[in-house]
Amino acid sequence: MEIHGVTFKDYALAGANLANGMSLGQVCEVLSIEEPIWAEVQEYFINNMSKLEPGGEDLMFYSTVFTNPKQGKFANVEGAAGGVEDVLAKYPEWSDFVKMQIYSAEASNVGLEIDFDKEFGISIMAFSQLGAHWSAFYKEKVMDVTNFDSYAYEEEGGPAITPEQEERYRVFHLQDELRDKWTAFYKDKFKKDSVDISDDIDF
Amino acid sequence: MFGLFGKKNKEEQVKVESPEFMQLVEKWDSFLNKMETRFNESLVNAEEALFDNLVESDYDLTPTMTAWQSIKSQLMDLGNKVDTTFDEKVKPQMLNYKEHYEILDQGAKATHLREKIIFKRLDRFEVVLEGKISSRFYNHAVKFLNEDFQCTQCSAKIELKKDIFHAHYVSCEYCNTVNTFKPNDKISAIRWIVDNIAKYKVITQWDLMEQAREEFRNIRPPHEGQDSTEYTTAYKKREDTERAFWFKYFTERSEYLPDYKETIEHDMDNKMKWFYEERKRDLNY
Repeated sequence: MEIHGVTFKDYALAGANLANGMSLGQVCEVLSIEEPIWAEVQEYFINNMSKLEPGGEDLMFYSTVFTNPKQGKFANVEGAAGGVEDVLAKYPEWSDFVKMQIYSAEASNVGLEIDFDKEFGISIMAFSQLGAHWSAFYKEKVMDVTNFDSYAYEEEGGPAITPEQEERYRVFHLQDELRDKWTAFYKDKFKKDSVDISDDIDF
Repeated sequence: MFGLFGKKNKEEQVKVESPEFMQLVEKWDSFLNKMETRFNESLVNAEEALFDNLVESDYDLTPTMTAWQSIKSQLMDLGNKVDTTFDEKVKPQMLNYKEHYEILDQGAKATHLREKIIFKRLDRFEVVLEGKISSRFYNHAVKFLNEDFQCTQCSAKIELKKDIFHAHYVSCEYCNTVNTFKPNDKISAIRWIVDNIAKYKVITQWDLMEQAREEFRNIRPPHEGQDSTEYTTAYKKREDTERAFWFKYFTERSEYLPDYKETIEHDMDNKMKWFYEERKRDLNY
């Protein structure tokens, strides 16, 4: 899929770099097109993305491009977004990401937009990179591992729990623990900002 | 006959609810009524507050939509409060007079208010609200397309099309110079809010689609060998109403974005894909 010399991968990379704050002018320069052409390119791909093969190379690329936008035509561009390794060096723990995620959600619940750059020193794009990284981690550790069949005990002749299944159990519960921990923390933090529109109604 | 079964029935008939329990039921009903009234009043207040916010922010959609997310969260909390009140306060008191299974209908009142009234109305309210806000934004932003745009070569005034909201080339009809029009942020934003306007304009079809979905959810899938007429009829109604909704929606959208007129069929196929996959799994066609 291509239009005006821009491939779907170029378009995906352009989107990732725009999200990281690269100016439209610079993106157009990298793609060697002018803004009106970019507008046509954008409309074309938005309108035709559904024609791409599910699970195919292009869509797989699209789903991971945010973790590494400094590639292809954007590989050597100054100001292009770095890969996920840059933000992971700063925030290596799963807990770091869950904290940001819950912070954002709870702030939104009380009508506040958080400034990632000010609060965590990273861009929204870098936050998305962390999201993609930890989603892939969860998929690998939990979703792609068959759950242990607790009805078929080893003593009863069923298969023994494997190390992967033990890890699955740990990761699965760790997610809940992290979410509970940060939800409690931020609910408390925003307590004064939250409004109960039925605080005068009680049983 | 034998005077056994009739006696039991008679005993059941004369069974009287304890006044204490009846008082609790009355109190619980009153609580639920107050919560529903508060919910309905809050929807009206929310709409007014968000329209004010839009004007005060000089038609910046971000703070308005952020405020809406906050209000929505508060409205959903009403539904959650109904449930927790039953679990933590009402149920323990009712259990002093009744068995657990005898107060299931009281718990169901909370679920009904939360799921069928609060959450369901909220879904529809969101479509209407986002549609109204987007319409107001559109009427404000589209005026910028009437502002003077002059040819860079001969300074002649160039008329801009009213349905292109992104950067585009436009030729001067006096000297044929090709100019580049770059819209301001508000004009650009129109591209992303017309979906809300289109959805709001076809709210009647949305209602019919939601009603068909609800009816379908209330029918149990037939077991093998059972008559499946009711189930397949409900599927058909879902298909018809969903197709009608998407067709109207994409047609409305293309009034604002004419480029999308050609893709209505394709866009509909995309939206209906999930429905046909589900039906294939369920009914094998």
